[in-house]
Order: sequence, then C-alpha cells, then structure tokens
Amino acid sequence: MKRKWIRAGVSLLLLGLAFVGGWWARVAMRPPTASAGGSMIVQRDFTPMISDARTPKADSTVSEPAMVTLYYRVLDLVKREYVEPVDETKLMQGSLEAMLAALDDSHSQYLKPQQLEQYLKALNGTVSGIGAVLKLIQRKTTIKVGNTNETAPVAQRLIQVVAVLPNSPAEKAGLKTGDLITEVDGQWVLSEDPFAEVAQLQRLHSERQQIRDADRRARERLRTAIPISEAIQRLTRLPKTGEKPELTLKVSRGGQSIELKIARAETRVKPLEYSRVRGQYGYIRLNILNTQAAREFDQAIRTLQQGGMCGLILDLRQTAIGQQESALKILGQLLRVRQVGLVETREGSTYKKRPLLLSGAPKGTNLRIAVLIDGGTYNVTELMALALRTGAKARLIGMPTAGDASQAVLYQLKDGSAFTLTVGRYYGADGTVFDKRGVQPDDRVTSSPTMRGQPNGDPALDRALSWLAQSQKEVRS
Amino acid sequence: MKHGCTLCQVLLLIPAMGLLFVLGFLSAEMWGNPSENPANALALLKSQLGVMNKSAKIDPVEAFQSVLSEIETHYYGKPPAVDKLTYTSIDGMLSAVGDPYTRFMDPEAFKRMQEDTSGNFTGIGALLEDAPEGARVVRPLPNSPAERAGVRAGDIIIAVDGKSLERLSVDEAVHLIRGPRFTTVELTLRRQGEPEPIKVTIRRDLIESPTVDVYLEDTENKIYRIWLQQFNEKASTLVSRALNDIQKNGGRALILDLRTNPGGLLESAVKVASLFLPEKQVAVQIVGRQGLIDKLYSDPALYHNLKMPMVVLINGSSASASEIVAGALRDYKIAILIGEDSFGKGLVQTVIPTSQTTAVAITTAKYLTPNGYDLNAKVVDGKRVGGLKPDIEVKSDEDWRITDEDRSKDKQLQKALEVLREQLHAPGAGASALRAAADGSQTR
Repeated sequence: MKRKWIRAGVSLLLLGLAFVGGWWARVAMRPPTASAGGSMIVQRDFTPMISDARTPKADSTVSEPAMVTLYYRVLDLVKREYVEPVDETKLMQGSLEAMLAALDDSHSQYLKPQQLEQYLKALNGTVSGIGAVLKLIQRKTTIKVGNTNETAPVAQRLIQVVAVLPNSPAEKAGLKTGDLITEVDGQWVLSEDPFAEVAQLQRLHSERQQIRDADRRARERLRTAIPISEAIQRLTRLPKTGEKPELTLKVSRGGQSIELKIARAETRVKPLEYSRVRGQYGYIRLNILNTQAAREFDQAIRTLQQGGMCGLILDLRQTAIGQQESALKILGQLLRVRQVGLVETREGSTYKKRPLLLSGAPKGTNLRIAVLIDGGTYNVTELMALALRTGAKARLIGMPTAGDASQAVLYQLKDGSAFTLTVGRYYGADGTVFDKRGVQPDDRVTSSPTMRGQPNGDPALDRALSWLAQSQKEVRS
Repeated sequence: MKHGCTLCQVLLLIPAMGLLFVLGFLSAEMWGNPSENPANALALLKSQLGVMNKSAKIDPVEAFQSVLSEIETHYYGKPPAVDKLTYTSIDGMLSAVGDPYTRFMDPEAFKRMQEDTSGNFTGIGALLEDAPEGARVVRPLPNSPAERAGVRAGDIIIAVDGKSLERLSVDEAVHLIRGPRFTTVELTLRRQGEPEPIKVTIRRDLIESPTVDVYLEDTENKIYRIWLQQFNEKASTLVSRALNDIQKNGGRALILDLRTNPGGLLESAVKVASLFLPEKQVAVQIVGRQGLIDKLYSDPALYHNLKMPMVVLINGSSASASEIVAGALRDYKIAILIGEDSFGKGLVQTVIPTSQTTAVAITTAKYLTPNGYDLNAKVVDGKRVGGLKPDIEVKSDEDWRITDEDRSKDKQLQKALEVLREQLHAPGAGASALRAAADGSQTR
C-alpha cells in the first residue's frame, strides 16, 4: 500500500517536472526581451548584486569593496549630518549620472525613470519634441583671441543631429544630419568654457583693457547660456502649458550658421513602410528597427513576392533608432550566411573579436538587393548595410554612413531607472572598420531626395532602379 | 504480473509526461510571453515599469556597486581606475545636494587642505598685477620679507628662480613665488631707471594679510571709513583701536566697509559686532539638522559708545562673518546697509575623514541673523538668489576695484557719504533717524 503511494507520488512528481520542463524549454528558447530606443541598444537584464561575497585585499584602500565602503560612508554621513533633510534617490541619481558621464561616451549614460520611458516610447515609434535623433559629440578647436593673431585651444561638446524622423517638425523645418545646434531660443548652448579667451589673454599679458573686455564678453555669453542637458530637454519634450510650441534654433551647417524655426509635437513613426516601384521592384523603408518592424518585414517581403518582385530596394537612410535583435531578425530573411559581423569586447586589458551570428539559420534570397544609405544611417543600421553587402551581395548606394560602431547595452535597475553602456564595437564580417569612417557606398549619390521613395524625386532611388534593371538584363543575357 | 503492471505504469507515464511537457511549453507560449503581442508591447513595458515604480526602493550602495563593477568589467573603452571613478561618483552625489560647500576631498584635495590650514604655504608679501613682461609689484606689504629685501612698488618681476614669467599669468607667477616657510626665492626685477635687471633673494615667511585700514573720507564732516578685510584673531582688537582713534580725533560718522571681505572666524565676527552692541544681545543663531543648536551673545565689555550714525558697505563678495556682522548691526538698527546683495554664505562646515586619505566637508549647520533671517543664497533656476539685501542698493561700476586710489569712482562709498552728510545736517542725528532717512530714500 505504502509503495503504491510512493509510486503515485513519484509519477506525479515526474509529470510536474515534465510540465515545468516544457515551460522552461520555451522560455529558454525565447530571445532576450529587447527594449530600448533613442539609439541602438541590446538589452541585458540586470539585477544588482551585493558585494559581500568578495573579500577586500587586506591593506589596499583602492579595491572595489573599499570604494563601496567609502561610498556608503559618505552617503550615510550626508544623510545624517547635512543641515537639511536630503533626498536619497536624488543623491543616488547624481552619483550614477556623474559616474557614467565620466566615461565621456555618448552611449554610456544614466537614465532617470522618465528618461527611460521616453527612450522606450521612441523605440516604439512615438517621439516627442522636434523629432530628431541627437548625439553629443566632442571636438577640439581653436578660437581667435581678442584682436591679436593668437589663438586658444578649446574643447567643445556639441549637440549633433544624427537623423531626422519622417514627418517630424524637424523634417518639415529642414533640419539635416550633421547639423550642430548652437542656440535655442536665442540662448547659447554651453559648449565650451567661455573664459578660455580671458585665460589666454592673461597668459599673453595683454593689456588690462583687452582682458576686461574679453571678461565682459564671456560674462555676457554666460548670462544667456543654457547647459547642454537643458537644451536637449527642451528639444525632446512637448511644450509645457503656456509655452510656445515653436523653438528658434541656430544651427551650424558646414561652418555656416542658419536659423530654423521648429515646432514641438508628438511624432508617430511607422517602423516600416513599403510599396512597389515601377511595378516589378519592391521598396522597403525601415524607420525604426524594432520588433514590429521585424515582424512586418516578413509580411512585406511575402506580399511583394506575391506581386512578382524581381529586385528589392532597402532604404536605410535616417535609420537611427532600434535594437540589435530586430536588425538580426530582418537580416535573417535576406542573408545567405549566418555571420552578420564581428563584435570586439574587452576582457581585462585585452580586446577580443567574436563573430556576431544570426540566432537561426539564414533564409537567404536570390533577390537583387540595393541598399540606400546616408549620413543618418547609424550604428546597427550601418552594420546591417555592411552585412547585406558581404552576405547578400547587395549594392550600397548613397552617401557614407554615420560611423558609429558602438555596441550599447541597456541595463534596467529595479527602481525604474536604467543606464546604458558601450560594451563592444562592431566590425564587418570581413573585419571592415566603420567606426568614425562610416560605411562607404559602392555608388555615391550626393544629391538628396525631394520626394523620398518616389522615382524621379529621389536620385539615389533612381540609381538603384537603373542598377537593378541593368543587372536583370545581365542575368537574362 | 507485478512486474508487468509496473512496466505498463511506466509506459503510461512516458506519454503522459510528453503530453504535459508540450502543455507546459504551450502555456509558456501563451501566458509567459505576452510581449509578443505587438499592440501590447508598449503597454507591457510601461506596466513593467509601473510595477518597478511601486517597488521603487533601491539601495543606492547596491546600485553604485553594480554600475561600478559593470563598467570595470564590461565597458568597451579603457575604464577609469576604480578609485577615480568612485571619487567622481561621490562628487556627483554631493553636487545633487545643491550646496557647493558640501564636497568630497579626494586624497590630493585632502592633503592640500591639511597643508593650507596648517599654514605651510608662505610667500614674500607683495601685491602683484599683470604686466607685459611678467608681474608688476603694486606695493610690498609693510614689514614683509619683500619690503625688507628692498622690493619697491612699480618693480616688474620678470623671472622667478631663473624661470621667465613672460608667458605666465599672475596666478602662475604667485604659484612660483610661494613656497615653504624659511626657504628662499630669487626674483629678477626690472626697475625704472635701472638699465640692468636686479636680482634679489628673499626668504619666504608667513604673511599676515592686512586686516584693518582706516581712512578719513570726508575731512569737513569728519566721516571715517574702516575697511575690515578679514575676520582673523586680531580683527576686533584692530577695529577697537581704530574706533578709539576715530573718537579721539572727533569723528562724527562711521562707515564700516565689509566689501570683498570673505569672512573668517565666527568668534571674531561676534567680537566685532560686540563693539557696537550696548547690551548682551544675540549676535548670531546657529541652526542644525535638529533645530536651534546655539545662540552666540555679544560681550558688552567690548562696547564702544560711538554716538554717531553708521553705514555698513556690503557687496557680492561680503560673505560669512561679514554677513553675520552686517546682519546683526541692521537687526539692532545700529547701521544701515548700502551696496549690493551680499554673497549669502552663512554655513558651518564640518570636515569628517572618510578613510585614511579622504574626507568629506558637510554643511552641518547654518547661521541666522538675530531676527532669524537665513543668510544663505539658494540656487533657483541656475541662479543664486539670496544673501543680505542692502537697505540702499548701489551697484558699483564694473571697472571699479576696491584697491583703486580714486575714490570719486566708488559709487557705493559716495552714496554712504551722501547719506551720512545728510544725516549729520539733519536735526537729531542718530542711527534710528538715519534709518528713517534711508527708508524714505528707498520709497522715493
């Protein structure tokens, strides 16, 4: 009797385990939940761990545990001793913000909960503000000093337009990739130390009057300046009640300063749009590389093929929002090989390159593919263009791409905030470097479209069409 | 039979297990992964965030440690050293407090602070300004090593220890000239009328910066100005001596000039205020995290019965102890304030070591004037707001410097003289009448 019960118990246990096993098998097969936006992000789930497990080195004062202790001590003292009550969350945010900012890397930053939400909304196709993808860049330049022939070196941090979203206020106003935003509503965006000139004049022992004049100019500039973070906020949020929706921007384009009036609104971006061009060619435009785009891509290809498509034009111009997983899914439909590219990561003080592979077998296609690229083709999208060239014999048409090969990861913290970190660098499958240089087109078309995606209104598209027609003839003959 | 039965049970179990495996797989497919539904993707992300927000608490130390180790192990570029990254992070934490005096001292800063307060840095005692070839001596301080070595006003220092100052700023020159006490420094001077540069060797010593200067600003009306430059141990004795002289010389009105006075010792401020306060009165209140900590009282033994109208000059560089004195004299209607908003720093910092090599300076208390006015400026929309508001606001010309010899350009001083003269010629001269006059001029 007893044995019977045991047997029944064991059976039930096995059945239960089978159920759990099945569940687990499905979960394990699932690709990591991807979420991000704003720029290209791979998600890695992230749970903070406590440091207790590690033992500090006996005498070292700079080991990680010693530093954690130091952080704890300072935090504790401020909380207890500061003359007024302090907000612990603010202190933590301030510290994480500063730590990530210290890396001086545009893909490594702390995101407060509302910033994360904005990020995720952008990835899902709702972009607030002027409707452009912005990036902080750094450059070294020199400024003229007073009325002397001398110059002073200055380090600048500037807001650069990476890409402009379709049907956004920024597009309507004519904002372009590469534009540097220097003024917002008549206020100078604080890009450099305004006293650099004064310091240089002092070093040169210039006349007192000249130094005072420079000092006055610097103070005047500073009086109207806004910090970069404030400028970015104004550009990427909706107007507050009572605020006028329109912003007047001064942008520097190719060394020339121009003024643009740009409204602020919520722009809905369709991740993917497609159409048939000249009857036999498919045209697919990817605006955002997200899960929706990946899903719709299958559908679009199927529909176009049912219509007898004999060549595909993939438009990756101004594609600067998305995530790596979705890009890989889309590539899986077109590539004939499994390798997409290489990712270099750091291990201690050495760097190692590993192949970046599709998660499944490549489907491959015999379609002739032309890929349209420009300076707004950014990050993973650049890798995509390269992969299509090496893995699907695609022809790249247009302008060199942005040249940003950082692989970034989004880490969520359990309080609803997050941070991003550059963890690797992309290379083409054959080792092609595109960081800073950009991906070079096979066929350079410099004139920009007046009617994007329309024959005769889009020179790069026209070039793609004639190449597809040409190669079709070659195949036939 | 028994065996057969076990076997068939096992055989039955296998398909059952298979079935349940598939069932589990499908359940996971259906319920375990709702994000596959496109329309729900954002809603789900948001709801996940919502859930996160509810459990909002995160231990800052855990978060810090996680980010730190993630940077050190996975960041693609060369990560900053763990200690540097930690110091930057702590700086960021303390700047979120919003008080510039609550700050972290890394080993370098902590060491510098220890040296500074123990007075290891000394110089030669000369005021310098920028000049084309180097640094011009405005004047050597009385009885300083520079004066004893024969350095004169107008001399231009062109080299320090053989190093040319040609492309260096005054600050950089000062840095070269300063050094440990009793060491020597060789200056190369160009002096008008001397064809060749002169070399002098000077032994560095502790320099006592000037504390009190007295000026007779209006000979006719006998209006005196005491310029108090800092609140050190000697300040109250020196001001007291100056007051005796002024009374002896028949002074009729007094200007206490606290412009560009950065403050100093709290005790000194209370003593200086005592010179003007007839009774034992609260000179300053100290308030900490838990409320009132202490009240410091004036010492009536120090009181000088001046019986003359008084103006205190303040500007944006009058800070801390200066503001305590100015605030107390106004609260007790001893003097009126003329000039610009004061700096707004009535805070007490405590330096607490956080490791063998680092420390943190935390603002642990603040000063309030006897009437309870909080001296401290706050940062509102990126601008500092606060400090003492003068009774009569007069902005100085941008080009004016407190060291300028020409007093006619000193608008704040001229206003003080004007107010005092008016008061001296009005009937019933006294501080309260003066105050009434000042109030009148404000509403006018």
